[in-house]
Amino acid sequence: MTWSLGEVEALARKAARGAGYDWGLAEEIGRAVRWLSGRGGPAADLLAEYLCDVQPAASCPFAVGAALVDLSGGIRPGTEVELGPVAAPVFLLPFVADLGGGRVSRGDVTLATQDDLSVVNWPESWIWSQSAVVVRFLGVPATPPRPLTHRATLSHAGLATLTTLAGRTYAPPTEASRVSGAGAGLADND
Amino acid sequence: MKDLPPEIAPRDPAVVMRLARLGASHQHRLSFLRILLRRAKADRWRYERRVFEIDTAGVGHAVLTMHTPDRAYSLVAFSHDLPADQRSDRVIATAWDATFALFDGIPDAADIDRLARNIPLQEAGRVGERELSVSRANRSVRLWDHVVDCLAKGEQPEEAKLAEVGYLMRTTAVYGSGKLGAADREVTCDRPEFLPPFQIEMLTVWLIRTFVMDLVEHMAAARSVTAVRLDPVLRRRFGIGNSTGLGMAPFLINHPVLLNNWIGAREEALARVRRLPDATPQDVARFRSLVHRARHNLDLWRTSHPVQVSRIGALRADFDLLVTHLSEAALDQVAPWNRLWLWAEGALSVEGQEALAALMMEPYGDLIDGMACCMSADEGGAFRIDGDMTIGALRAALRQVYGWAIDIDWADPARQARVWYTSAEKLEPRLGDRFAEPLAAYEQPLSPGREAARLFADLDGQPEDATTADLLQAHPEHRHTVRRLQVAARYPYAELRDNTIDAAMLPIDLLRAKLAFFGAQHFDPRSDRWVRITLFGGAPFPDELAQMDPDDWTYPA
Repeated sequence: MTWSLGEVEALARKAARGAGYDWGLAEEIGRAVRWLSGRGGPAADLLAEYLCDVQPAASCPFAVGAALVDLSGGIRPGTEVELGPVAAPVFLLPFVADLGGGRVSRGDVTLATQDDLSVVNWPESWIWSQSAVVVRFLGVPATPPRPLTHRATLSHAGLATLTTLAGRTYAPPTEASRVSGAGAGLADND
Repeated sequence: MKDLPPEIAPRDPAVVMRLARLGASHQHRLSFLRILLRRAKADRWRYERRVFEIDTAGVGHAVLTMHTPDRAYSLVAFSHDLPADQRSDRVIATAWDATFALFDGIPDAADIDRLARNIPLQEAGRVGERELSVSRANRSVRLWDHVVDCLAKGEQPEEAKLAEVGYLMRTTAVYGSGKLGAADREVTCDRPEFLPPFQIEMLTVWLIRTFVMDLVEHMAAARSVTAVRLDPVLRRRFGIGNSTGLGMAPFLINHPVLLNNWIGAREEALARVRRLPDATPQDVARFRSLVHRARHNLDLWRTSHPVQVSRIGALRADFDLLVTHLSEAALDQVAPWNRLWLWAEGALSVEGQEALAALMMEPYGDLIDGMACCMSADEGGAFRIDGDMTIGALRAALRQVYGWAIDIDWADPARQARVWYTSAEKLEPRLGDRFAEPLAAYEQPLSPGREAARLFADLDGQPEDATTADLLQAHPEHRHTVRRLQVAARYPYAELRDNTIDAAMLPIDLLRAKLAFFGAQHFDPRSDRWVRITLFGGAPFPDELAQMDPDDWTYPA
């Protein structure tokens, strides 16, 4: 079964909020998962893994990515930024794409924003390593490439994890909310 | 030419974006179903009923296809035998009289089998990239039974009974844009027929109406060999009902650029008409005739909701004033529409002003209809935060867009009495009482005014030349609101100018604003958060559009 990009974006956003992110960053996370999924990457599954096992020694890729974009005033084509250890740095790619495209490197593995990510086997080290990440901006002022696919993949385990986290944003029912929350209660059989 | 009016700007967002005014919206030339019918007519779409396999109990399926110049779109309809005790308009229902998918192309037998296993389940089923929408509808039992009885007896239904309801079925959800696994909007947004907003949903509902009318005649024929078909003129008066609850309310708040583009197009249309130096006798005659037809249309607008009853009363009085005014003040003076408009701003209720705005647009299709292509939006294009914006500029933007919110006394419980949340039980947006229920921890970001006031307070004492990027490092919790503010500062109609969590807020105002852009008529609130409407009532059917005017039906002749 495949998912629409809108579905994985919404699920990722809610799961991120359920995992404790503020709404603003949760929106960035949803959008990053959509972008990566549209390039063929199993981004929703990776998010599920990441949200369950946040590593205190490595920076959050979403906070780093968002800060890169916020501070992008000084970024020129060819600019290289050393970021220190960043968890799951593949999540930096959507933010780099927002800034005109570029490359993200850890050790001897480099991914670029224009890659077809579906053929890349994200190495384990790319998720769990504590080594530093370097971003190099190409700064090609082009519109971001279109998605390669409009369908996203999501494993059963990933779906279960993200659904559970998203569920934390839903209010448990009360008698009052059952009666009044939706404002219905009139007969529809007319 | 002399005495040209001074440049007339579109209306001020501080006036237009108030909830009470948005909640008085009316359909107009740029409403989405009217855009659809104009395109279907201009491009000579061809209608074909490919399959109609429904038994005498009303169970089976049908395929209704529209052929555009380059493509085909098919409504796949499943008709069910629903026990009366399961008929519910609520989005949380699990069984319906009929269920539908809009299919991209012409479905083959395998597609129909797949859809037959999924579409009747609605939210519990799954669809894929070939499906553009998923929807369902329930009968208006009273009118349905009456129409089937009459036709089976060889008679036409009573006009009064039709006017009471206006439709044989009402949809209770039309899902598009990737919901339930359907195609994302990105898949189809490059097709010219789907460039304006909600064209997939409007096409779905137009074809549903066609199916429903065929079904009611089929059921009458199944009951009696001497059954008759509906008289074509009477048949056309049937619309499709829609029952809309809170689920739709957050949409306008969550799509600020889209909202801006809808309202902005309408306001530019109104401004263009007001700027006209004169009106031809034909335009004036057309307008006068539509005023009388719109006045008559009020008599067909039924509601029992006290707020709407009194608004319709005020609207009747407005139309009386307007008719009197038009008999005294000629429209052959310089800048006739602007004079009329300025008079209306002082003389008519908000409902009356908004109704007049829609009517003034009617004679001027060549001035207005081209704006349809400017009404969609790429929210993603406005997503990126400008981190270089200074705190001074942020503060100024806050005052400009959210001055009304900064001035609210948020310590007063009535000003934040409500909580927007999602219920775990039904996964639907709900509105709760902040001080009576433990809901605050689950609050959705749907109170932009209060959030803006909080941001403004946190800017206190910050240097003017510090940057937004600095602010967000110290206050990541404001990220959502800063993004929203920067959007609202660039797009004048992106933001509501009212408190969406106030004790006195009426969710139906949000619903009506959106439904009027769909092209809805006869708003019938069922509570403060639930409204029934009619779509396509009076409109040509797909197989008669070639012979009819795609626009001249929204005010019955």
